[in-house]
Amino acid sequence: MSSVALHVEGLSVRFGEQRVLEEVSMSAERHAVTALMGPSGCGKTSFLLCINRLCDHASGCTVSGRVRVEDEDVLAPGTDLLRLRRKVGMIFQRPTPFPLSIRRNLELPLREHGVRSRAALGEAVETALRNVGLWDEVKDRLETPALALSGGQRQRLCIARAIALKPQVLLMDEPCSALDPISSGVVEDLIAGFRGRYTVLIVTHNLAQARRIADHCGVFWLTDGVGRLIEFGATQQVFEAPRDPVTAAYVQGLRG
Amino acid sequence: MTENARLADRLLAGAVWLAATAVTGVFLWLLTDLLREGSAALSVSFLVDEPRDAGRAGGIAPILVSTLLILGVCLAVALPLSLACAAYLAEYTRREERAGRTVRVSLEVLAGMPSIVFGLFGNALFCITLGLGFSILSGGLTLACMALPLMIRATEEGFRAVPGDYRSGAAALGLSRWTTLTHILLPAALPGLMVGTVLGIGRALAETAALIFTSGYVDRLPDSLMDSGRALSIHIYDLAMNVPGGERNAYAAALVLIALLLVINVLASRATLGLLRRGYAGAGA
Repeated sequence: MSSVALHVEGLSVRFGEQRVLEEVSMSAERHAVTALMGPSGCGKTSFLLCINRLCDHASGCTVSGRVRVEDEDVLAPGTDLLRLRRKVGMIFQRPTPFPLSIRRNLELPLREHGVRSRAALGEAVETALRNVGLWDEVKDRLETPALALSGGQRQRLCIARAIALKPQVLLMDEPCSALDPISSGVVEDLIAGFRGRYTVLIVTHNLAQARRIADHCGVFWLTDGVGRLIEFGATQQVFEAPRDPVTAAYVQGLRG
Repeated sequence: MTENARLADRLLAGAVWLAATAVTGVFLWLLTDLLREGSAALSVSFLVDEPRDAGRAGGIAPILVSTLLILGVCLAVALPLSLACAAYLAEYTRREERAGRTVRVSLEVLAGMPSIVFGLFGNALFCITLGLGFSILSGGLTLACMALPLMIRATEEGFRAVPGDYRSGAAALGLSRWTTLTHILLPAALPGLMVGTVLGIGRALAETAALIFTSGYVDRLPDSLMDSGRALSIHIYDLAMNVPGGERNAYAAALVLIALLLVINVLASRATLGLLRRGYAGAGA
């Protein structure tokens, strides 16, 4: 088994006539954290959406190229999307707990994916909440609405909900940027702790955060109105010896 | 500010105030008139007795039963249909797509249709073609056709008010469309459904023209849904227009109708508020 969990080759995305992303190729190492950086509007989110095929829900979106998650050809027309999305979890910038109780938020996707027995559900809920450090905070109010939680707790609940399905890959779209600094720190530590357990692909605007938690970094940049991956490599190399002069200016905070 | 601008401001404020007062005034006038004329004849026996002497004396018990039965038939048909149709419009079509547009335009036309037309249509379809005759069933089904556009519209808005985040969040977790709809979107859209139902009930209870041709006119207690029955609004119309000396009881019956509407309104808004307060419905915060 190779150490590559996610492999992307020649990925291009268009919305109608508008080219959003062109010829992106990269690989993410299994159980490592890979950070994707770059200014707004250069296609980072679109890139993530291709990996769990959420791009199918965007109107007028066409995708070409190849995406492989473990041994599965993601963009093949026959891909079972519900199964794919169980394997590839996603965390959004704005935490999206459902308007249900904390317990139901976790149980609903588990039931959908075939976990039925009360005991198994209860155990999965507790494990997932412990894994995000939320168990002690909410164990006495699992039946209360999830929308009553604070922003940071909501985001951790969403992460718990995603990892309860035992995904192989976690896509995170700026998971900290809607949180206050303290909650943001808690979530960041959580993500760093995922190294060795999940293959994490995280989009972030926070260069310092990328440097702290990522094993590999990529930089997206808008050239001629189209997003491209202009730099990809080990975190240290990207920050200290970037190949592209634009990356050099970006990581030094001179541009972007 | 110049003197002229100040004057214009005052005039505007005055005009707005006058309009609001006029509207409230009409409502209060109507209400006091109803209360003054109707409360004299209103009593418990009025609610539980059969009408006598063409309604000049006695009560409205069978009419209340017929009204509630017709309303029940109407809701039993219109609720599931409007829910399904609203879900289709909001979740399975885009605003600009042809299929959705066609359904939406048909609904708008239906919503503006005079009720007498619904009455003729209901008579032709339910009473004659389907052979249901003048019956509670025919009346309820005709009312369902009338209430549907309102109910679908409000429910659709309820679905559209649910944040898109829930949909993408559900899709990202690999939830099927069915689970997303029934477990996440539907509870969140319940306030919209409530509003639609209250509007629908209002329209159904107030209806006279559509029922004369479909549920009929007889004021005895109906013995089944296939029996004919007189609705409250028809009773009021009949007492006021066709029965000399029936005005007093017409007022009393109108008072009962208004009270019924108010009770349903209050119950529905309390239920909605309860859902919202528990954090299980609406956008949340």
